Amino acid sequence: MIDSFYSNYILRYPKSVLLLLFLMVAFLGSQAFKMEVDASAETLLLESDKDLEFSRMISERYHTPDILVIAYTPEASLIDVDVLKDISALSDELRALPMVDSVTSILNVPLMQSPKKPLKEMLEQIPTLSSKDVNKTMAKYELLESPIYKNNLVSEDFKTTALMINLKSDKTFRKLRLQRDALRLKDREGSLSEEEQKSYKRVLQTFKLHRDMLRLSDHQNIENIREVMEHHRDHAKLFLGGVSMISDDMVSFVKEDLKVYGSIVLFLLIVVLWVIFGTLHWVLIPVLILTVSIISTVGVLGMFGWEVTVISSNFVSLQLIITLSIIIHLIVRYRELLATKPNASQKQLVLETVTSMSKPTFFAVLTTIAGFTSLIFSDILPVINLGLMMSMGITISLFLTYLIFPAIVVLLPKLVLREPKKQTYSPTKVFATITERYGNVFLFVTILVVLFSLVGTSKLMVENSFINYFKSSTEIYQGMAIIDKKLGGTTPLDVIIDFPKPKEMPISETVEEDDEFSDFDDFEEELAASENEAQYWFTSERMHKVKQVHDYLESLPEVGKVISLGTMLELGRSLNDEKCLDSFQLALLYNELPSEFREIILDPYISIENNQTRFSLRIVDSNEALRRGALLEKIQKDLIGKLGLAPENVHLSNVMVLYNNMLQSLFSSQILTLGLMVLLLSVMFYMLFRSLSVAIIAMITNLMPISVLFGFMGWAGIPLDMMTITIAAISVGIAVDNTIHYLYRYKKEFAIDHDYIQAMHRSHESIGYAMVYTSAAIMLGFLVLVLSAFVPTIYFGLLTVLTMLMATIADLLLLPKLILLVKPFKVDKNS
Amino acid sequence: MQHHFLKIFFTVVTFLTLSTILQADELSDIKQMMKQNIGEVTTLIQDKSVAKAARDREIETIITPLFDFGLMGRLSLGKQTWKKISKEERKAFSELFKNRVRQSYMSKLDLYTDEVVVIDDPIKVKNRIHLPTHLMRKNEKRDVLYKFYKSKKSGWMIYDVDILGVSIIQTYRTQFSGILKKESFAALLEKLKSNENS
Repeated sequence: MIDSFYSNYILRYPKSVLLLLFLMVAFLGSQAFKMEVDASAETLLLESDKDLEFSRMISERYHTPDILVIAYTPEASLIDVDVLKDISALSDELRALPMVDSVTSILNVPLMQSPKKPLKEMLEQIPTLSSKDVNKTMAKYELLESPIYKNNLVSEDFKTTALMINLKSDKTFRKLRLQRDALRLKDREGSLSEEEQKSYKRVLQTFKLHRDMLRLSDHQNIENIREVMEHHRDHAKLFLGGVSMISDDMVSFVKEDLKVYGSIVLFLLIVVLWVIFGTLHWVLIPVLILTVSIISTVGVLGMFGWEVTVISSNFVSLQLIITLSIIIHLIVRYRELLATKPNASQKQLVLETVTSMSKPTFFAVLTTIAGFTSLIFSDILPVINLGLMMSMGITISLFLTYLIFPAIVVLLPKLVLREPKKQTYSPTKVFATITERYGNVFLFVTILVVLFSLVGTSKLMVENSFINYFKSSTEIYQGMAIIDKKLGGTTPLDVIIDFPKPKEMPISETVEEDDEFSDFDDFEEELAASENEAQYWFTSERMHKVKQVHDYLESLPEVGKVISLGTMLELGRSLNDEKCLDSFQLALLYNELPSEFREIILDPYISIENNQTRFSLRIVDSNEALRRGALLEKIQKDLIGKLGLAPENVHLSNVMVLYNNMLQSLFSSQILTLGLMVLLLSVMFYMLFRSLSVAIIAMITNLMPISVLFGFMGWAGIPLDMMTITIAAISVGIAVDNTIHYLYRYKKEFAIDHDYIQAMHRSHESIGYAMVYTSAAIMLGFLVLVLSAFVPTIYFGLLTVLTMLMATIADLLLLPKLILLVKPFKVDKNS
Repeated sequence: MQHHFLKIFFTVVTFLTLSTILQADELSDIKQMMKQNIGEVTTLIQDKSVAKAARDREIETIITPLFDFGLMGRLSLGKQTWKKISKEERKAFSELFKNRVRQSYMSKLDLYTDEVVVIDDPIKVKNRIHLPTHLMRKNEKRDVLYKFYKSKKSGWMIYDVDILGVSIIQTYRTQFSGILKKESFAALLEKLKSNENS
């Protein structure tokens, strides 16, 4: 069937085929510009995560605005007149930006102890560093000692201060997201009415449009802030930090990587092709196929509105490499046929090249797709998208390669084969000889390596550290490091405590009432009516709990800054002659506090109507010893076990929890993904070779590189994170190609003389070359990623090279040794 | 028949009128009494010639008779607890509570400087009387509400004060019930004692 398809259509009308393809690619090319990059934190979260819903609810309830932070380290002292002037000018310029709501700095925070005054007097006019009569030395002392400001607004060495830029919150975005979430929930339950379905579509569209617009304005805002910062670099070091900056910078890195590494990989592949084949044809044809494959894939992505995220940012390099492997196998086969059948016509040669390679290539591509498709089970949208994107991309590549390659080559004159140089050294020959002579030694070494790797695997960690995503030489790293180490940590974590509901007083049974109680009920009723008013919420019991939890959280070495009602109680104590504020004073304070102060110091930390309090923590991200999952577990466990809180009253929330959930999900899905892939591949090998022993041999060959990958990561302390977690599936998907090609060829060679050793030598000499070429090209291609400024990309490159190297060694040494050992191929009686 | 009706009518009207007059009397009495007491207290505070200890003693003698500390203590503890504890415990508690409230009231006097105390018209709330007052300083107005009830033995007495919307009794109630949820009554007494000594 394939024969007739090619001889009747493709090879008969090659020009028309090329023209049609050209038109199709041109159309897709016009769509390619629509492709978008999204690296916002939102893309990385688990959509089905209950904690995400909870976190969003908490952030609504406690009105926590988005902030950016500038770490400001002047050359002179922080309280120097010129420095203060500069901070003031910087604040003013920032405040003038359209997206900035307010700027909090050492200049405008209330100073309550500089000098100490009676509470009443102070409340009348709270001084700041900009007030005329403020005592600067005392102010410095207060900034360094105050429970709110120390290690938050100023560093402990008083050299660095933070300017907190409070961003305007976008109400439309929140509203749209709420609408979308509500409708999506209904959609999942399948209870959307026709009308609602329409509005769901509309909301989705509006949401996306609005989000895209917001992303642009966020980006512009960060650019603006950076520009403002430029004007102040003469006397101080300035760094920008904050969650929205991290994601914005990540987008920039991803875009840069897409551009730079896409082209460098392409360039390197050209060099590799030239080195291998040495003719212009075999460079230009692959480059053409590679280019149209990428253009078409990007076009399809743009057409369907699929967004490239941090995780899928490597898809261009990946696709280039996989496509090249398909092409190299075709070229090597063509050249082999040209050498063995010098009299065949060009059309015959092309036809046989395509038909003989189509089956193994089809299966090889199928396994690669299987590898990528298994990512769909990860539950994380960008990882799922990477799986879908790559599956689609490879299908496009297969389709285009098998149309363009024959259509072009058939138009060319028969290519004269260069006289092969007399080679004294051939890597594939060496591999074949090693397998024949020292196979058992190699087998023993393999077992040792696998054991070593298994021990390493047990050391594998699941961690996701933002700061480690960037090289220490980058500005973003330095900024994050300063904020992390000197200004109280980076990753936000919220600890939410519910207080037990007040028990309903049981209705007293009517007992004989003496005189004393005659009036009691009347008063009780009166008092019960006002009992639940907000100001009476601050009971000593609750405050005691708040202080206990606050002190506990602050005692954890991994935690940077903790701000909660406890901080305010501490502050109150220092203002009240070191005596704790009692319930009555707190109630008074609550009633009397001007609303603008209440919004800053109480509303973010207590929700009286929900009988709940919030502790806002920042975790020191750069702490090497930080084990995020373990820390979250410890906090939960200690609050219940040591502080006696009921399990249902302790909740953890915010970015730290959500990322941890994502990682845990990645980890469990990794196991699921790999398990699924092993199963899928086994079935495929069995179907292709109709032999259980071949399927088992093939799987052992491919599990070796994975075990080395995980072992290496374990020993080297490289954590499994959202980037590295995709490597195993991708590498195996690619590596399995070689196994299929080798086994397929070996089966053919074995059929000739039923000699296992000779079949091995012949396979190594023929397909072995193609395997070494493609692996070399892939490894070189991925090695380029090491030059990226984005650390996940570097790891991704390095680890893929390692896995590919191990896979190639396994395919050329372990696989033949296992074949020689098991002898799985039966003598075909027909041959 | 008509005569009889008129008689009833007059009786009712007379009764109603009389009771309003009586009430009006009580209301203005209370206002008058507080005006006088507060006046005396502010004069004492402003008079810098008197030693603080002597001044405080005098203020105490003016204020103490106005408050029903016994009832305040009972209300702060709540009926349930009050009924459960022994006579001795009640006595000990009342004493400690009285001292505590007095102490905290006295300590707040030092915060007072040059505010003008304005006494508004008393309001009848069911069978009790609320006397709203406020402290004026510059343009700020701070409300203090005195709540009176009529005791069988001693007439109108204060049973609670709302300062800036916060009731003293309510605060003690939440505080005490919080402590008693976890600890014994003896522990509560201990806490009151230790506060007294500090």
